[in-house]
Amino acid sequence: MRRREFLLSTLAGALAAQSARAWEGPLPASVIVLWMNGGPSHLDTWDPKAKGPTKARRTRLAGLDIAEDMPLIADVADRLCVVRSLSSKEGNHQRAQYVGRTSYSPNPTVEHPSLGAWVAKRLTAPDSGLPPFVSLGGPSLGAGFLGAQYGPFVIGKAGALPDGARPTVSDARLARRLGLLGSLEDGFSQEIVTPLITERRALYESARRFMASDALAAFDVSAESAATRARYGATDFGTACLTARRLVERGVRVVEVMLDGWDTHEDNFTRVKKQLAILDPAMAALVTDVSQAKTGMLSGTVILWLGEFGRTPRINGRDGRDHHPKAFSAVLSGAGVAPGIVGATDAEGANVVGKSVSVADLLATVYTLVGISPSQEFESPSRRPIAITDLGVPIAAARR
Amino acid sequence: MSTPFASRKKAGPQLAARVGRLSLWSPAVGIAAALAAVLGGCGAATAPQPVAHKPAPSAPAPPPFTAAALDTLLRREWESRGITPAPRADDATFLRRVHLDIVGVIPTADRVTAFLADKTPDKRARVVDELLASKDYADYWAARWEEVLVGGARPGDVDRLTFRAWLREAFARNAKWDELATTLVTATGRSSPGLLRTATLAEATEGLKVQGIAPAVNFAAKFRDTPQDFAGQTARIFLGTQIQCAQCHDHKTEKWTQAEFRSFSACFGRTQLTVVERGGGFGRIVDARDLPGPVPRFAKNSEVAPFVSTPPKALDGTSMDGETRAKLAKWMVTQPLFSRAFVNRAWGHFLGRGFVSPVDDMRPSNAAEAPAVLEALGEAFARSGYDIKALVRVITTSEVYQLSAQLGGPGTGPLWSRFRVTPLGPEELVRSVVRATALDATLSESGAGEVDDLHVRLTRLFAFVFDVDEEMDATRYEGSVSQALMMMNGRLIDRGTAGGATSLFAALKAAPSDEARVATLYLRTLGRPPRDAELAAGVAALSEGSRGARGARLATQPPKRLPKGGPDPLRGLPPPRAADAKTAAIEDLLWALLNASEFAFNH
Repeated sequence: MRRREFLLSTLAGALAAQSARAWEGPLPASVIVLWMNGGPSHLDTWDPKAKGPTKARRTRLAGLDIAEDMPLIADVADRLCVVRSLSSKEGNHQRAQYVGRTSYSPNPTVEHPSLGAWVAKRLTAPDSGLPPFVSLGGPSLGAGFLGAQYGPFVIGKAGALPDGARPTVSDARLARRLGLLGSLEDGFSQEIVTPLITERRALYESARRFMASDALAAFDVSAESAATRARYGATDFGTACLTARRLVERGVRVVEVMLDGWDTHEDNFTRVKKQLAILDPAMAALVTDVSQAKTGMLSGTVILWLGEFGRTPRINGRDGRDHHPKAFSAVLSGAGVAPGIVGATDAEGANVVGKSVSVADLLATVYTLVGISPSQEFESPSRRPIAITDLGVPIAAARR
Repeated sequence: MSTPFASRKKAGPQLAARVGRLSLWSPAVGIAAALAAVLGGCGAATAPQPVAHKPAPSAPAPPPFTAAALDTLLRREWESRGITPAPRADDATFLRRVHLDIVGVIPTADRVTAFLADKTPDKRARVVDELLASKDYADYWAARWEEVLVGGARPGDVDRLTFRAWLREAFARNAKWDELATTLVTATGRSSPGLLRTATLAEATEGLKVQGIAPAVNFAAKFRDTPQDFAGQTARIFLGTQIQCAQCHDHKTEKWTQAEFRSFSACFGRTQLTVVERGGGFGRIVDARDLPGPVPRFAKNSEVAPFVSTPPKALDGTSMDGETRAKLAKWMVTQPLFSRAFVNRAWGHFLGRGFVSPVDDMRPSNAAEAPAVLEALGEAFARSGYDIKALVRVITTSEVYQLSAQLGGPGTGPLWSRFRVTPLGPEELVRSVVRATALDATLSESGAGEVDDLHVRLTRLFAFVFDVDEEMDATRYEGSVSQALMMMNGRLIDRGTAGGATSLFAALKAAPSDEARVATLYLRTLGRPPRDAELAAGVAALSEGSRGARGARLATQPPKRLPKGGPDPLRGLPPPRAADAKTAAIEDLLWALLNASEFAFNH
């Protein structure tokens, strides 16, 4: 490993030098987003109702009752901030997923960067060779106008090395290949002047560093004890959550882990039960590990649990629940998060009682927790000032 | 003719100054005029005709629109702004460019050699005709339009093979765009003959003959529950207009109102799409049927009902009651925006950036560059009877298309005055790697399957990682580390460059000298002979290889996720093995050429 790094570094140009400074920021801040794809039913997870079909269970957090199928999470609920007053206008999956990732409604003229991309851009990543933003189990959303270098490094199935992470030839041959490639690139960029070529070369340099990185071992969970792996659950999602922890420990700033399958128009109750069996151990283990970390990157990690919307109190003819953006739940945990319950819905779970929280407010809270100002403006390619969130105001009660 | 555009007449005087330039629009004019300016703004301001492109019977027929006419218009724009265009691209660059743009793949080494040797003055125009007549043209345009029309569909929602086979057949016979668009928007019947996951494109083509199959229904198939999205996509793709934002709210000044969107989407709310067979085969079979009124299922669904319960109207307010979709299609294909949307998309494809960018967001406040050229080209396209090949011929034989991507001097660049470098998309990249490495010949010799299907499956594998937005022009390189890794270490490149695996290496081995080997590698990958310095460096690299660099190969694993709907596309190849030193050196040079920016960009 060291030898490969040495060999390759002799070929690396100025770009390597540029990124060679080690991470020494004041705040070991990172974000793990647990993205619940499809729109999880708030009524059958974080906001069960007395008259509803889902039974509630007491938790370690005074006053918080959650669905009975989350026993392990109930045990660590004193480290959670459950937001029950989330409300949005977008009831269409694609549009709502966009809002959940960016805080903005889709607009054909601007591609907004996702939370992952902003965090990747704003927080300097340690020099591990790992990408700053990793998405496990889903395509996630790109970096919009920030450019693909801040977009997610997508790994479909967590647990082992990503496809193509290793060269297919020996170190000596790879070095020769990169040497030949370097002179081709020099020639072409003298002929045609465009930033595209420079940007592409920078990307190849990142890929080279990635291939040579010791930190690649983070992707391989077999290094963890059987007991640890069991705590997270023997599921793809559990493995992905454990991988997320390992990645953050090695300096990845933001990891999105996707759990798909929440679009329960049919057979809601059986399906949610299945989902919770996957979620419960994985999330509980992650929350525990983050809360117990005293030093290092993990100690500064914020966990966000969120899907695109909630589900209707009304149960449809197929024993399912339909889309319900008017009132739903999200959960925060980790560094700087004040445990508690934010907001409430009515007896049905149909409407927010009192002040509602927008998705932008929720994301603004996350940004604030990791030291990024959610109202800071940047210029889009069409020279429009765009704030990091769409008028998001951090939820005061969610912060310590 | 009084009713259809009644609202426009009110706006007449204000409109007169505004039509003709999509960019001149002030919010004070009001939504009706905005609609009119966008939908009808084609010169005839005071007495608009619903059928805007049919000249009045007495008017003399305008001269045919040629590449020269296009160049004159653009030159005028450049001169008025003091822009000096770049010099003309050389023959090899032109040949590669026109191949990538018309057939989606780089030229073969033989074609390059023959083209460079050809001394006839009209050889560039002839190569355009040759490409338009080839099977590759239909393949490539079918692939591109499949992406535009059903790109976001979930596997299983759409029978993509049948859809592609149908599109391929349409492009092969040069189906006119108004005919194609009408079929796509109005199709009824069953979407698929019911194919197995393992079906090939040849089988899908055969399946088109099954009675009662309407492959165009696949365009609508994913909108079974969302007529409003069917409406939004139709407006976006065929009229280049984004109306879907109005789904949820009225937009400030320039967008459509919610009421307008609802009347428009009501046109699609009478089409009932029923799943007649699910699972088992390649995907669902959907049956499309038009009802006299709103589909009851939609009307009962509180999320959808608002979009189907108002009387159906076109975007300019024309009533579409009756044979709704048929009427709507008839209205649509006579709009100036209909031809402009296609022309703009084609311009973006060939010139790297549309007159309006993104290509599907034409509206008054998103100014068109060189609007006069867009209009002229749009009118010409309509006048030609929406002849796609004729449009491609005009664009690709124009001087503006043939400009170099190199800097020609100060002030070059804007308004397509030098060729815009663009990255190859997954389709072009896969086809070009396969051609450069002779994987196609190798695989068909090994009996692994049809080359057609190889392209489809490999592209699917690539498309996920190379998820580029083809609707946007590339001002920056939208790459990712995953893409670089796929090109550096992925199986396609690994197998394509492996000495033992392809027929290319047999030919290279048999070549008389290292000079010949290097020349062949450059012709195959970059579509040009190596320059002197490159030749010398290449020969040095190959002979250095002979002196004993190790040819070891590390074990590669098959990808963890194979493309859905078929076996591993590369299964027919023998596994790569350790190569002798000379072969290893050739492999390394080929690898470098395939990873080079000159290969990865259309320039």
